[in-house]
Order: sequence, then C-alpha cells, then structure tokens
Amino acid sequence: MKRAMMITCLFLLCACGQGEDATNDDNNSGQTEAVLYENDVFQIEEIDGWSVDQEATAEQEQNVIFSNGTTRLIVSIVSKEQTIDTLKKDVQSSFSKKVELIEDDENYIALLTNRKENIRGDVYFHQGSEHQLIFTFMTPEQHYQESKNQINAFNEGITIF
Amino acid sequence: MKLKIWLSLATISVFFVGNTAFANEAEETVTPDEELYDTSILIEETELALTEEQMERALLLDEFANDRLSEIEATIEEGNIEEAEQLIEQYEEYLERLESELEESEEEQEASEEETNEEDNEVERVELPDSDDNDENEQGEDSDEENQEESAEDQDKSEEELRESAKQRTIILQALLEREDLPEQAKAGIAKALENQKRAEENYLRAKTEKAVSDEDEDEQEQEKEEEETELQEEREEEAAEQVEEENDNEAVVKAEQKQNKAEKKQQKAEEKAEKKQQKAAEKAEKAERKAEEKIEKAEEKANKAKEKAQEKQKKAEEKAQEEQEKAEEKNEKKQAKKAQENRQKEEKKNGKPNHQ
Repeated sequence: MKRAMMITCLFLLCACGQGEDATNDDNNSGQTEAVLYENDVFQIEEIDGWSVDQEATAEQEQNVIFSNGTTRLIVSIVSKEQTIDTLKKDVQSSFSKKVELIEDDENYIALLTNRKENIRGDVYFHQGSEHQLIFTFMTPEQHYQESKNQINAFNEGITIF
Repeated sequence: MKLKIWLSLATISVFFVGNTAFANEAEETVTPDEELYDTSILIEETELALTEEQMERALLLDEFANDRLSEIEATIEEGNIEEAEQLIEQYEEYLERLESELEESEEEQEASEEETNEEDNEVERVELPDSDDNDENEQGEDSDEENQEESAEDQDKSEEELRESAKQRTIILQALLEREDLPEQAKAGIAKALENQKRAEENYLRAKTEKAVSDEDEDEQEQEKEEEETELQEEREEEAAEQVEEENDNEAVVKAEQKQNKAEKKQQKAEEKAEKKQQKAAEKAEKAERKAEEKIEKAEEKANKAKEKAQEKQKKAEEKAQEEQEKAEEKNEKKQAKKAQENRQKEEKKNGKPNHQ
C-alpha cells in the first residue's frame, strides 16, 4: 500500500513538474514573439504603432531607426568615453540652427526648433554595461500631444544590456 | 594717456570676446571625425522629412549645405583630402536637392495663387449686390489678402536669405579653389560644385524674371478686365437712358439709325483696342526676352571675371614664386662668390702673397 502511495506521489510530482515546464516554455515563447527589436546592446518590446525602419537602419552601423506615425526615433549606440554633457551638446547642435533647449534634466533634454514648422526633440540618455545609448524622439510640434503617450509607451518597453 | 590705455584695453577685450564667440560657434557643429557624426546627419534628415512646406525644406537644405561646406574647409585644414573629396560630393548632392526643392516651391506657390484666383472669381460670381453679408465677405477677403501679402513677404525674405548664403558659399568655394596646397582632383570637385552653384543661380534668376513678367501680364490683364467692365456698365446705362427716351419719343427710325452708328463706332473701338493689346503683348514679350538675356549675360560676365581673377591670381602667385626662386638663386650665387673670395684671401694670407687681380 505504501509503495503504491509512493509511486502515485512520485507520478504526481513528475506530472506537476512537466506542467510547470510547459507553462514556462509558453511564457518564454510569448516573450520572444513580443520583441520588436533586439541586438547585443538593447531590446525593445513590441509596442502598438511602433515599427523598425528597416531600410534606414540597414545603412547604419551605430543607429537604429523606429517610427510611429509622425514620430521618429533614432537610437544611437555610443562609446562610454564621452560624458553626457558632451553628448547633450552634440545632439543639440545636430538639430537646425534655430533650436532651443527647453528642458534639461540629468538624463534627458527637450529641444524645440524655432522655425515656421517646429520640430520637438525628446532625448533620453541611458547607460549600458559597455555602451551608452541615446534615444532621440522627433515629432512635429503640432502633433506632440498625441505622440507623448507613444513616447512613454516606448520608454517602458526598453531593456538595456 | 589714460584714454589711450582704456582704448587699448577695450580693443584687446573686444578681440578676446570675438575669439570666444567664434570658438563657441565653431564648437556648435559635429565634425566628420566625431562619433556622433552619422547620428547628426540622421537628425538633419529626420528634421527635413518631418518638414512639409517646400520653402522651409529649401531653407533647411541650404543650412545643411553650409554645414557641409564648413566641414569641407575644416577637413582640408586638417589635410584629410580624401574625406574632403567625399564631402564635396555630398555637398553637390545637397545643392541638387536644394535646386529641385526650390523648383517645387515655385510650382507650389503658382498653384496656390491660381487656387486663390479661382476662389476669388467664384466668390465674385456668388456675391449678391444688395446682400447683408457683403461687409463680412469683404472683411474676409481683406484678411485673405493680408495673409497672402504676409506669405509673399515671407517668401521674399526666404529667397533673399537663400541668395545671400549662396553668394557666401561661392566666395568660400572660390577661395578654396585658389589654394595651392590642394590636389588637382579636389580642385576639380570644387570647380564642379562652383559651376553647379552658378548654374543654379542662373536658373533661379531666369525663373524669377519669367515670373515677374507673367505677374506684370496678369496685373495688366486684370486692369483691362476692369476697364472693360466699367465700359460695359456705362453702355448699359446709356442704353437704359435711350430706352427711356425711345418710350417718350416717337421718332423710332432716327433712333435706329443713331443706334446703328453707335454700334459701328463701338465695333471700331473694340477692334482698335484689340490691336493695341496685341501690340502691347508683343512689346512685353520682347522686353522680357531682352531682360532675361541681359541677366544671363551679366551672370556669365561675372563668372568669366571671377575665372579671370582666379587665373590672374594664380599667375601672380607663380610669378612671385619664380621671382623668389630667382632671388634665392642669386643670393646663393653671391654667397658662393663671397665664400670663394674669402677662401682666396685666406690662401693668399697663408701664402703671404697678396693677389692684385
């Protein structure tokens, strides 16, 4: 009787273990499906509306380009040699001449061009283990309110290695 | 004395302030040797892609062309000729894009002008003479006209800005062409860029003169239309008056004759007017052609003068170099002669026999 009980318990334990493995596998396969983009330095979860600009990205070595409607995002991989202040200055000077710095936090700046058609830039600086990453979101000022949520959603889906 | 000291201090401080300002300006670009250069080009292109208005796009391309030119200057200064040649190619691409953007801008402006003219005509047709809404309509028209004037002013300003920066670029390119330390390949690239720039300027001038002539024609056509309308109104009034008279008068036959005479006169007048119009149109066309030819000739003269100047400068530089070489050779010869004389004198002293040759 005891033996029978022991065998049944073992059988049950094995069955439960297998079931758990199966659910883990399901979760893992779910995670791999939900990745929008990944490389050695960072990974982006799939987010509604966002896509990778494959053509533009193929021509680049250090940059990956994403878009969502009128919002564009340039992700740049930079070495750790440069300080954030230098990177902030370089990004600002990459915009057209009449650009203004409207917000400056530790790892974030907001820029706005001062032209007939203004472009807003939201720039986030992230630290990876071997690289620094710059996320430059660009959007026409008139569509900025709509794109705010898109930018926030994207920022929540970033994993940096 | 104190005044002198103050003045010199002020000059020195202005010099330093000027230098720091220039340094700041120089720092404000990402150069090709920097890590973020590709990113900066991507940011430029994205800004351009998100800009819809043609003239704004043209202004952006103009700014980027200026950036490339200053990068060319910097890389040449550094002695990186290969990089400079690549940048010259990119610079030419920017100029081509700028040219096509300007052409599209002109087309866009013409299309919008035509649209507004059509809208005006429709409004005129719909308008009722004694309607209460007339005042409101007039106000709306006024604000439309103001907007149009403002946009025309903006367009003129932008065009002036573009012309000015094109001039500056031509000066810089000519200065680069005159440099003696550049290899022939780089010079050929710069000369090509210069030619393209001049061609673009000529095309632009031609388009402008043609547009100015067509604008004049449109204005005159409008004037003629207005005149015709007023004449028609006068005729109608006369006819109405005559009708009233006819009703009162029984001599219908006489009036019929009078009417016929009037109709004949009118026809004659109309024919004369048509002839005059034709003459005017022919004169205008001739004038426009002459103007365009003169402008092109002037542009060509300017280009030739610039070329001649560059050649003269090069000749002068070569002559100077030759003169300097000759001078150096003469000096060497003199030195050698002196040395030979000194050696002879030394030998004579050693031998104790003066040589009176």
